[in-house]
Amino acid sequence: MELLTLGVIGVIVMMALIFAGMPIGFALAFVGAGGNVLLMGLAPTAAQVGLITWENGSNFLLISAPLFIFMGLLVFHTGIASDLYDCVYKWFGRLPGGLAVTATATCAGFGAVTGSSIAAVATVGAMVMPEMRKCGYHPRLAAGSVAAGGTLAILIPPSFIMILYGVWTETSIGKLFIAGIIPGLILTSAFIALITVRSMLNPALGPKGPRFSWHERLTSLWKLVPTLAVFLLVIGGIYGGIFTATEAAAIGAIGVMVVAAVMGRLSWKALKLSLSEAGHTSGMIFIIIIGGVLVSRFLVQTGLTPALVTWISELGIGATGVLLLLIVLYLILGCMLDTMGTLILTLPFVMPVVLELGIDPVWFGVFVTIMIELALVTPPVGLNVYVLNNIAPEVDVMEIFRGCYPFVAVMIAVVFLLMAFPQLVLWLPESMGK
Amino acid sequence: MSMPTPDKEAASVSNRLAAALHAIGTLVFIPALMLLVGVDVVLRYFFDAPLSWSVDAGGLLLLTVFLCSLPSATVTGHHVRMELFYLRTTGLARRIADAVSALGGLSLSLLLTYQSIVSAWEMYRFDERPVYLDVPYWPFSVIMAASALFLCVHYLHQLVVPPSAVPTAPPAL
Repeated sequence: MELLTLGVIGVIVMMALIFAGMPIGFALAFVGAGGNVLLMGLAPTAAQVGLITWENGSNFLLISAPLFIFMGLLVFHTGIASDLYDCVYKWFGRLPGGLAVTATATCAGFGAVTGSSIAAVATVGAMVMPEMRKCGYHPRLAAGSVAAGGTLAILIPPSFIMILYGVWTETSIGKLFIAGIIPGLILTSAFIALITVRSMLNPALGPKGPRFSWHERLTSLWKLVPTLAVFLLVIGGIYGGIFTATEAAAIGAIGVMVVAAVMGRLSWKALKLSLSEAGHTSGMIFIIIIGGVLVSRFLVQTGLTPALVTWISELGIGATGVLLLLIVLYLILGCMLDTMGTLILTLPFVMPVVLELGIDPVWFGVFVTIMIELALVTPPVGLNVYVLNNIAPEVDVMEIFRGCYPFVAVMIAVVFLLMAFPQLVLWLPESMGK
Repeated sequence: MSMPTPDKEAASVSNRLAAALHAIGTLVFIPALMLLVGVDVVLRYFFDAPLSWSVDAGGLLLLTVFLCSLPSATVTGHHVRMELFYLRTTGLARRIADAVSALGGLSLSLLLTYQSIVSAWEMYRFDERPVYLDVPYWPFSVIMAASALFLCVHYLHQLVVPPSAVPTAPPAL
């Protein structure tokens, strides 16, 4: 059998296993190992599986994964970022659609210390949804702003998806984090602008909130301190060249424990739960990485990856054409897979093409992160929507999805903006440590 | 009162062992990892005396965290999977999908178990150790073998007794 044919069969089998419900990491690893057995024999494949497991499992760069996850979960379980809402509401609540604006801004702030979209939706949704119901907000605007706002958490650093992307593509995780700041702020501002304009055009969608005095606003600022302290410690440390991303993860986790202890919110239960969930997520990541590496090596050996790169290069559509195709691909995949699944499945194929076309891997990391965020709010598997539906069961799932569509359009518009002006992504990482 | 069947009892023992391994991995090794990296940063910046062995130790601790949590993550359904079509299958189609998944997982776990045992023996025989840390490698390869063996038991059980419900844990991220 021709090697290329074997590669194509491998991809078909892999997709069939994934569609059959096999965990994606295992499906990738099984096809990678199975293909290599056919190419090299059983003993060399077993040695390769063992070596890949050992090498990747003890990769120092990956230490940031369990520690950032632990840090984010601890922020969530101790509720140290929950006070953000009160402060943001006092400053933005008076705007048209003020509560929805508050939800979006709080999600962004939450993302700055957790990197977890689900945690952002669960925390902010529980606080904001009853308030919006009471104030007569249209359910679509209310639910859409929270579900879509939650996606900001994986773009604004620290971002778990960026860690995985960085480890996989051997791109600096620190640079990826810093690169996410400006696009994260642009996307947050764009969401806020969308809510405000829609509420101004149709005030029934999102009424203005009460006016707060300057004294109330200024005194609420102290509630920003815990979140700001953790964010500045982690991201300031990375940007200033003081820590690597791995070190920032450890310092950040210790920092969150100290802040939570000072606030009297550090409990054994929260600690244990955060550690346990961090362990489970780490175990899941581990098999994904092993599977991804195995299948990538198999595909390279069959010549499928180089053939794909050559084919796309010869299409003559250039980097912009490929990126436009990728936008369509990610929109389709986002309807079938969640964030992690989309990332794992596409990187082995997409990354060689991206590098061949000379696209900056840091820029592409931000592009992929935004495109992957869409998977969280597009039907039928949009995870954020289901999390929100659990919190606010009175809003129908399809109604939440419909509420997310304007935000999805904004996200795609921001992607086009970043394509037109790549320096919006690259300026900060290029000035790091200077 | 119904008596537990042998396969259920075996699964229960296996699940409890996976949970115990996970508890050790997370409650001991994640904090250890955090402290190691944190202390190293402090020693480097404030005392100009970084730990020479921190990268080696960090790597081994990370490997232990992963290996300790992998069986529990599998048993409790924390792995990313596409359920869109799987959940719509019933009867024979569902049984085939479960069997294919279990066979795939089993063959991979067997491969890893075999290789880990071979590697552990070789590491022991040649007394392999990290460059800057005087700790033998073989115990970590034994942990890898144990972790893979848990997966073998889990998938073998799944092959014999197909899951009645899809174990899907809420994602932490």
